[in-house]
Amino acid sequence: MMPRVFALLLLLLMAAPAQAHKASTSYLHLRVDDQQLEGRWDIALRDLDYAIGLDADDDGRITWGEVRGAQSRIADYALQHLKVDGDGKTCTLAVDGLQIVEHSDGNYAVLDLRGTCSQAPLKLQLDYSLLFELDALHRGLLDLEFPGDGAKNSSHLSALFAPDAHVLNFEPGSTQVLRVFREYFRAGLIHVWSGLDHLLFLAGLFLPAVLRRSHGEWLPTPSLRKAVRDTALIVTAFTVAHACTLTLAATGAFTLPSRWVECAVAATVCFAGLNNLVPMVYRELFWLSAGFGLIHGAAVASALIDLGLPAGGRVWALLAFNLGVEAAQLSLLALVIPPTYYFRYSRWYRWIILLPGSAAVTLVGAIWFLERAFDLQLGVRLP
Amino acid sequence: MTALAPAWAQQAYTPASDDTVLEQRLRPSGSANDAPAVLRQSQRALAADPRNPDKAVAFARQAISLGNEEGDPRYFGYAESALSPWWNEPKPAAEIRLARATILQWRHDFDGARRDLDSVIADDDHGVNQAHLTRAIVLIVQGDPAAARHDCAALIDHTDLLTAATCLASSGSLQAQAPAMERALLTILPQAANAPAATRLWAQTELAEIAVRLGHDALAGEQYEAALTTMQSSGHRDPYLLASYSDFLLDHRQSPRVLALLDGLDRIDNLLLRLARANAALADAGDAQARTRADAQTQQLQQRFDETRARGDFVHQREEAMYWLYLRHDAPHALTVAVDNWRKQREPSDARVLLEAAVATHDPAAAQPVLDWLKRTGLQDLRLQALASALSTYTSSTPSGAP
Repeated sequence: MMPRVFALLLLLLMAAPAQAHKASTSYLHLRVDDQQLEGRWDIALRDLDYAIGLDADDDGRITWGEVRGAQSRIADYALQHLKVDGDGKTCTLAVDGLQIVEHSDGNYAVLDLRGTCSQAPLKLQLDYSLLFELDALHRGLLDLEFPGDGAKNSSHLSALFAPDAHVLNFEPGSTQVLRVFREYFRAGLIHVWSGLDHLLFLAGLFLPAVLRRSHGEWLPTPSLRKAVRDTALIVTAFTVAHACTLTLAATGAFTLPSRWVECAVAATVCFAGLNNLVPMVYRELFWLSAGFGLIHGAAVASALIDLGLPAGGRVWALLAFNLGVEAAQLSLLALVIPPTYYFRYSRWYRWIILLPGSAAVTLVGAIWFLERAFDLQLGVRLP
Repeated sequence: MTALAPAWAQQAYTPASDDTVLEQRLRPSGSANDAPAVLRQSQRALAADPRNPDKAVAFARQAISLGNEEGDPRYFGYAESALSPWWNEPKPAAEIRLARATILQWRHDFDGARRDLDSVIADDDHGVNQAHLTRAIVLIVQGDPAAARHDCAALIDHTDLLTAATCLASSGSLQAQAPAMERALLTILPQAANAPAATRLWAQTELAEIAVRLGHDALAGEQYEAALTTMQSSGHRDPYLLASYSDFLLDHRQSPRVLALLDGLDRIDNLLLRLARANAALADAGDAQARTRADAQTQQLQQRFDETRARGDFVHQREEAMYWLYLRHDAPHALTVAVDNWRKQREPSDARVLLEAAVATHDPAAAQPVLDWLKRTGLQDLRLQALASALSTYTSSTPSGAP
């Protein structure tokens, strides 16, 4: 017994002169471009062989054919051990290519990674667990890249994954805040320009902007300045109110049943049109506008939550979104007011634009209301 | 912008043919057993029962021995993982503490290794002999042969004679008793023909190294060859012997023999270093192909050091100092690394690279800790003594330290 024990023991103690040699390491490069993830992951073939077995014919040699044949197993194994979260939401990740690269200690499989986050992340969390359960000395070397405005301005963060540091958090920094701001500002613009309900509602408010109501009659407004000031006030009141409910709803301060809110939005569109045909409110219109803004804001909030607000940058994102809404509305104003002001004395402006336009807005608003309230399909596409 | 890891510089490619061989397992020459396959088997057995200490220790031992043979730290990582249920426990079973000590010692965590070994010895548990032996090795690496002798003495009557004798020779030869230890091993070795191959291999390598230090080159060459034969017949590769023998051959300008000895073993850093040195020596003698090989191997070593450092790991500084001194001919840098290395490792080869770098830079002050150590231990080593006296001429002729 003794000699055998000692043969084993001597092999053990011969570990004394440590071998200078690189332990198992993988190299993960990840580029976060808005919501797109792009990357490359180099994993040693020797490690993959130990973890999932690559040497199909068990001849002690790993050939390219064997690696290629194991591509889907390699991809599955790798992806099971890497999780990317953007602002608390899991980003998708897939392997869409397999190549080979030689590092100083042998050949590595190169996995091309591609993925998508629900939005450009303000906070990125990586959870890396490759090989840790098998090899306590394994490390993952990370190079995280955030592209800047130009190719040269991209910033890199390096980090090391270890068993006791397998979850790492990153905040891309100021350039990323700017990117989020831009993205949500654009979303605000698009919300107005492409939202039919929003446009119709504004049309209802704008159509009579160059006129004023006096003794039951529409009269041309005396000055352009007054027309612009009044409508800008209406629009801004709308935006401010819109921002209030949007912010409160989007930060989770309250939630309203979406069907109720959508009906209310349709009702406001209908009312805005009707008010031009049968004037009910024609002084201090901005109060009406502010009230309607409250309703529209609540409607948008749910859409924005679905879009995914960055947890760390909610304030920024909401501000950017509202500024985008305001900018889009003011741009519409700038487009609509000059021609209508020019034609304000012409009779046909009233008969061809104002009344039929308002009638159309009223009708569409009414149809939406019916559709939303009673769950009917009347053939008008919902915004 | 932080520097890109050098790893990203390499271009990925698609191999031309399915038959392209991308990895080849190192296998001991002449051995029929496929150790990695055996290891995978016990890994599967362990995975089914991960908290079983017997299976974990059995796996860890296999992994460590394979790690030694292949010079691949992966196996030490596997061993550590197998021990992970107990890794942070202060006092797991003696077998687990012994295996943990071996891994810690391999990682150059000598204090951590000593804690485990001390506790096994204090408990007088059934692994006590192995603990004494391992602690002796740690103490020798740390440059304290006197303390190591006590552990070796504790082995007498508890292990086979050759093991205790080699342990005593190893520590005693570093303490002014080299000729006596050389004689002792020469006497005992022929009587221990039936000792396990691993024990004889250790004794023969030790004897060869003692002979080198005493300037008995013929005996050294003979014992290195005997050790090589033992290694080949055992079916287990011993990178320590191969590196030690290669250094001897390099000192005797036998570079072609080094290339033959280490053929195909460039995966192991210590051996890649010796291959590069052999090729560089041939290149200096006018061999253009050797120049190309030496340059490529030097480049590869640099890359491995860089990649190891990028992981946040220690780079084995003895080898790194040799790399700067012999391959890059940058003695000041080699000296810095060697001085740093000396804080942890104090064996004759650590002393040698430091003294050579100090001679090349005319810096006796940097070598003072080594000179003190030589005086304290009374080590008999002709080469180190020559280097020490070369340094002393700098001290007397150029007190400023500059030539």
